[in-house]
Amino acid sequence: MTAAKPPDQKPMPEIRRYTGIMDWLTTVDHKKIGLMYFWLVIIMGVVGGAFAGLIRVQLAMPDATYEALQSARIEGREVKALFYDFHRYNEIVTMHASVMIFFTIIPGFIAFANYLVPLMIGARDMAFPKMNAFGFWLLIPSAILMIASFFVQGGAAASGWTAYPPLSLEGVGNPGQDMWIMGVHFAGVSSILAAINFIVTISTMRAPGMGWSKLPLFAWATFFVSIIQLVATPVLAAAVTMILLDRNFHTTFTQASLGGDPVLYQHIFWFYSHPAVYIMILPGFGAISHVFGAFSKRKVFGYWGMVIATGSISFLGFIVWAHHMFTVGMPTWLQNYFMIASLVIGVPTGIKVFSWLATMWGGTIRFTTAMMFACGFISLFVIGGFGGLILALVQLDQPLHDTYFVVGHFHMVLVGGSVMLLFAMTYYWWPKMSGRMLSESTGKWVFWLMFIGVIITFMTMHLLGTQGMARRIPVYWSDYRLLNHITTGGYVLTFVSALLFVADLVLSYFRPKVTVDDPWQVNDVQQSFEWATSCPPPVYNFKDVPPIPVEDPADYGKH
Amino acid sequence: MNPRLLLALLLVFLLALRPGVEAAETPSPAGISSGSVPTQVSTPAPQTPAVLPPAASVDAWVSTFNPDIYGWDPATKKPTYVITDTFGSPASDVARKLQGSAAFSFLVFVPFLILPQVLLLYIIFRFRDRGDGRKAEKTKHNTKLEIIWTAIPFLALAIVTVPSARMITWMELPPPEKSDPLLLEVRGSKFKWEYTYQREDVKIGQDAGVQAHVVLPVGRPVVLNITSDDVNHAWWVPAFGIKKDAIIGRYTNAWFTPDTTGVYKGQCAELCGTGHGLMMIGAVVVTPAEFQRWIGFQRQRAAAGLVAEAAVNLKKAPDETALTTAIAKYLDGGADQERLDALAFWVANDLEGASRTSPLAKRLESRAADLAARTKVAALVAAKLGKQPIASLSLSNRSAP
Repeated sequence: MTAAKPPDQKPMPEIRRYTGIMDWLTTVDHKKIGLMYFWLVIIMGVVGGAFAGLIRVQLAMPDATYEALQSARIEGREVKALFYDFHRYNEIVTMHASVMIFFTIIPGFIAFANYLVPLMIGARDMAFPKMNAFGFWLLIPSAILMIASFFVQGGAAASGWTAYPPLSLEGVGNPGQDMWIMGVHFAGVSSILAAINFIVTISTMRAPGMGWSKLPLFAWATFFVSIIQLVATPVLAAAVTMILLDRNFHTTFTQASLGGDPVLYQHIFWFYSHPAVYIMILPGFGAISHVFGAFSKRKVFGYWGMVIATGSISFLGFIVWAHHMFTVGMPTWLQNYFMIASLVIGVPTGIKVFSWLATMWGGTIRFTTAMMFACGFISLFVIGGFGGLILALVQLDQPLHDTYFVVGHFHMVLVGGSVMLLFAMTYYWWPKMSGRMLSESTGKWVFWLMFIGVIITFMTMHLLGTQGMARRIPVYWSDYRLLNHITTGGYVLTFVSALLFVADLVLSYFRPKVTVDDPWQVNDVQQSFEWATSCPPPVYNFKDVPPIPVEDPADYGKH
Repeated sequence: MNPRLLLALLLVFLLALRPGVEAAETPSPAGISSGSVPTQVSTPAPQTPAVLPPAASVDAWVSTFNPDIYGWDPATKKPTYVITDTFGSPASDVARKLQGSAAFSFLVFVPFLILPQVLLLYIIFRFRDRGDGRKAEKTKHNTKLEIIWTAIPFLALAIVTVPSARMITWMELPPPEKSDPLLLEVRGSKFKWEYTYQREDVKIGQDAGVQAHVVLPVGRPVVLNITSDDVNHAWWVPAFGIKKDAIIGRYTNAWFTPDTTGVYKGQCAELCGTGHGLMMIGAVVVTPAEFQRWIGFQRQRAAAGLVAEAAVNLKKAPDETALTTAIAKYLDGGADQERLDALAFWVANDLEGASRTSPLAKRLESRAADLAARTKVAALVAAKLGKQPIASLSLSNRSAP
């Protein structure tokens, strides 16, 4: 029961003024912009993964233990480690985080939102197509500024992606940190523009008949996340601007010797960066509901529960920021408040997990690669969330703060969560986006390598943290050597899986085109607009405002 | 930066090779497995007034108060320490409570880790499409179920939150003044720690480029007043369960009572720049008597340091005049047992410190020169005081590296 195609009423407007490369450079089509986002994300993801590899190489070197350093010193040997220069190590750590956060995970979801949200709500394009293009093109100078800062005097920013002052105030005159700040500014503006665009598009451009109660969950999630971005990102801009001014214009926002306060920056920074955690995963939460529903042949369980959970996570995300700073010294009541608020986020998250399981319950489940990634996501995300519950307890955060437990936790949530989500979304929607299928047999390899790799890599990090290994250190005690080697092994599996995936993406362009609208044959249950148009959809998506099927447009909201 | 700078950093942070473990293994204190660190109570100084203490006890003091935090045995190429952490081997009241608290929270939360995984596996096997024409169910919601899986997590959170809030309130409550807490100012700077014993008026920090261990008496509450001179640092010793940021322009506080003697390692836990990974913390917990002796040594540090410096120089240029003058000056300031103990300690300590960074080949040579210098000091002190030197002073019972 695909949505009936309407008879042609109006001719399609011609918007292609150029062909070839010029077409891509000048396009304002949300689908092309979405694809450009997607490929930027793929490229930056590989770059960020390679940075992670450099970190792992350093930590896998036999001489990266304190004892080996000392032994080499005593025996008068040269040390054999990747980074003789620990400053360079800090640069790599900083850039790994920055690239992964600002250019991989956040734009990763924006890529899919850009492509799919107008399709899902039956719109021809975003509300502000030119602003949409501008938002994408801002990311390019942003990425260039960050990566190029490795080649300037003094190297790239080396104060961690959190850029805590006074450390980030050092090296005035070396442009690395300033370039990082400007990169964040560009990425931030891009993010705000995208947020405005999504909010307006979803609010005003839904097809007639598609009320809020029939909005697909991915569009709901994008809507909430856009609000987070709109509210929080300017705060990040304010925080890094304080650093920029303190570094270059003799202001004293964060300089204690002149009356400023370095902790002020931390509060403002985390006011953005905790909601940013949800920017990095909520859209995927919405999208994965589609995958679960599609391959279980079921409607999504508890539509309103899902919407309310997403909304409450978005709100709660704003009032828990100081759980990142439990060790800076806060009043006891404040610590208790932030602990309780952080724990409460576990409840709506639990609602979502149980609702996904209930969606699968009683279904006839087809294990396509997308579905495997979705199931793998639940498994890994629950582990990551468990670490989050432990870390939210303020007394346990004292010994675990800034250890590998934290590193393991947020990687389990971001790689086991967000990246698995992005993989699932790609496998599910790639036929729609490119008009080509990804290889299901390669996909199985990609999934199992990634799943096992993530478990090995980040579970060992949790163990290292409880045993007392600090994060962001280039050398460690030799007691941690075995676990570090296991982590490195896990990294290799994960990275091989990612490369396999990228290779498959490229190869897919040489495969035959998908000829049907709905290659997964899901739309008899899902009835989502994006499967009611060709693969890939034509310019302007729908020849006319798509008709709402009489009885049951998206059927998410009806009880 | 180049390898030379790295080596310079190492120079700053590498501590001396720990001398070979004493032949007889002492009974291990709770929480530390045997052979880890020397924690034996040193033999008290002989009661004969005004003589230098025997070498064995001087060496014991040096290794108790200045243990090697890296504990690397170049002979076996293996570490000689055991990692201490909050959850595995707590060594303070705070860490012990944290251990219990972690276990409790884990038990309450673990169903939420296991249940979804089990359900997921069950669903995967039970509801996979076997091509037998089974139709998917049509249920779209179930209010009762949704209320249950909202309410139960709330209940679990409440169960964990109450003891957690009580625990943090207890952690944040300073020890009463009548418990005679040790007030310790901790001052971080790139990439070293300075400790001020505020009531004892003793200050330690880097000594000859080596990070000094903070020495704490067992069983007495410690109040930390932590601050920084430059960027943010964090003072963290896992075995004590304490981690607090050191921030310029403000003091942060933490308190705990160490309850087990031993040597504990920690390190800076807030990214502070190039040397962050090498910004070590060493904490030595000793008996109250040993602590008092150590405080006594610290009080004589400045005066005894001149003698020790002359003794170190003696190894380079055999000129005894400076040494004789320094010893005479030191003994003029008083020749009671405490001053003589301190003299013996600092001479042995600084001689060892000076040879800490020598390559292995030169260390044996250096050890011999150390012993010669110590004999010389003993002889000069004895001559000055008109007493017989104690022969054993020159004979160390410690094996060469």
